[in-house]
Amino acid sequence: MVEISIKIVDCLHAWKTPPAIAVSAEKVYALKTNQATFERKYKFVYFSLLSFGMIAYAFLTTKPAQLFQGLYRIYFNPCHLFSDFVAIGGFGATLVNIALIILVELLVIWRSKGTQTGTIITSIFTTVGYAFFGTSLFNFLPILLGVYLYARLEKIPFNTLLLQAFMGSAIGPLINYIAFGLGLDPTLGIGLGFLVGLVIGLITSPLSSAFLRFHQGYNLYNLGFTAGMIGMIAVAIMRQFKVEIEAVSVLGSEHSLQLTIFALILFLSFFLFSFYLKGWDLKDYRKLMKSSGRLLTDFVQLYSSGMAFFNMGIIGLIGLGFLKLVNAPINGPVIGACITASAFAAIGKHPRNVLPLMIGTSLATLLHGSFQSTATILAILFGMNLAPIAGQFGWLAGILAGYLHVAVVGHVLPLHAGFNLYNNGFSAGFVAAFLVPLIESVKRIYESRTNNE
Amino acid sequence: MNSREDQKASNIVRALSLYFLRKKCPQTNVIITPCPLSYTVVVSGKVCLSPNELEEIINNLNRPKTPELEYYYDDLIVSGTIDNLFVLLGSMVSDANVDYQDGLLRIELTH
Repeated sequence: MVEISIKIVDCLHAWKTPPAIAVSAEKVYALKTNQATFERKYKFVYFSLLSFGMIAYAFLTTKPAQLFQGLYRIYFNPCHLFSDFVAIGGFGATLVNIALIILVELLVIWRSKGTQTGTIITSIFTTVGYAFFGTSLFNFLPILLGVYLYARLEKIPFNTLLLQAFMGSAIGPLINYIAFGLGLDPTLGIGLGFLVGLVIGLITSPLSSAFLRFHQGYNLYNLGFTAGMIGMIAVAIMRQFKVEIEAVSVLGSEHSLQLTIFALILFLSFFLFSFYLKGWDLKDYRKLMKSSGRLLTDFVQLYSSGMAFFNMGIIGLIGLGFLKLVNAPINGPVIGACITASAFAAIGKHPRNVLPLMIGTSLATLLHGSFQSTATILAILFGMNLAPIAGQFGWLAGILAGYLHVAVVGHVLPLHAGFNLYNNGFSAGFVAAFLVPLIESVKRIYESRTNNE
Repeated sequence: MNSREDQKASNIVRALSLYFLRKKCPQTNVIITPCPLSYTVVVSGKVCLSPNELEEIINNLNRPKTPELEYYYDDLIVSGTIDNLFVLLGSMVSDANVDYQDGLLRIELTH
């Protein structure tokens, strides 16, 4: 017979003074993360070099007046899906937008004494990816401030909410739409948009934590699911007020070569940084590829930053290679998706668990779609976020999840009217929540029958 | 201690109980000690462990504390599987002690 006995000891009255264990959270992190602290400054240097490199390139190739006009167009326009910032503001202005976001993130990490774990690296590169088609400093800051206010209200360290603060910008286009899409007076619109951003920041943290339970950690883009739910509620309220939200599709193709070279340089910089941190010591890479990738599989914590960056480079090149293989259109959203796909290779993705997904999504595209469609290419690249299903349950489950993802992703977009940039994360949440209990049930039946035999 | 911290302590107990049950432990004992600024959870029971399994548990429980586990990912420890349980727990707790003698495994976690 199996027995569990539980005893709760009350020592609240026994301790008159705080116990020795009661050191501050920051101190605990510092005590336990000497290696991380050592690598921390190198990551700051890497991200700073990346940002200033982008700004320098932008100023060398574009006239300052053009750059500022481009930034103005990026910041002050309704930018829901699909709004290609490279087409709207130009390549140089997009790079400046990305660099400014990274620099703000670095400042926030530094000021909040945040550790640069895999999740933080992922969230930085995710915002880099989305800064090609929706995330701008204008819609990033109010949400960041809202999350900060929430941390103050809950009396918890802000560095425990950095992920939500950075990736909460997924719903940023809603701020732009309220500010510039409703036809309000600009001052009123910007003020209202900012207020909505603050509210989004305030509600993102409790919601995102709760929604993890919905898909049990099998959807890597959980913030995308959360943003989708927020967007869905916001759109429902707006429709109550008879607000008609028109679909947007601004996509350019004239910067394809520049974008490809940019992505290639970025992925090569992952390899170089990995080599600088770790040398070509990849003996654990095979072990890394055996992990399911289910949240939270932080490769920085489990292996090293060097290994995580190496893996990010590999996934980035797989994505880029795929784009070339199918002769996909190259624009801001597509390159942004490729960079975001590689970002999540710091917390779960690796070649073994993403390839089944790519097969499943490609199969669905061959049967029902076209590789020339930007939306489909995004579904394939972002579909990798269901990697934990392939990692946990095998290739067949991964292929099935990929196929279902392409089927579902187009249907959930109208729910939030394109305000959620991480629409594929929204869709993947439903696919994971639908598939995982069924696969687990089949597995249990199979195991029970095998044991009986 | 707020209700969220109570929930975390409860989740730790639930996750460790599941581990001992999956290991076919005949009797699992749980002691929870709430203190002003922390919780100590001790779970013990007879289980069969190989030296490699024990080493893996100790290494995983002594991982650096991760801020993200403090607020965001903490609920994942009760989501059903035990494959990355000790990694998540190790990233969540301030202190961990593991003792294994004569088949009796004792895990003490302070959060």
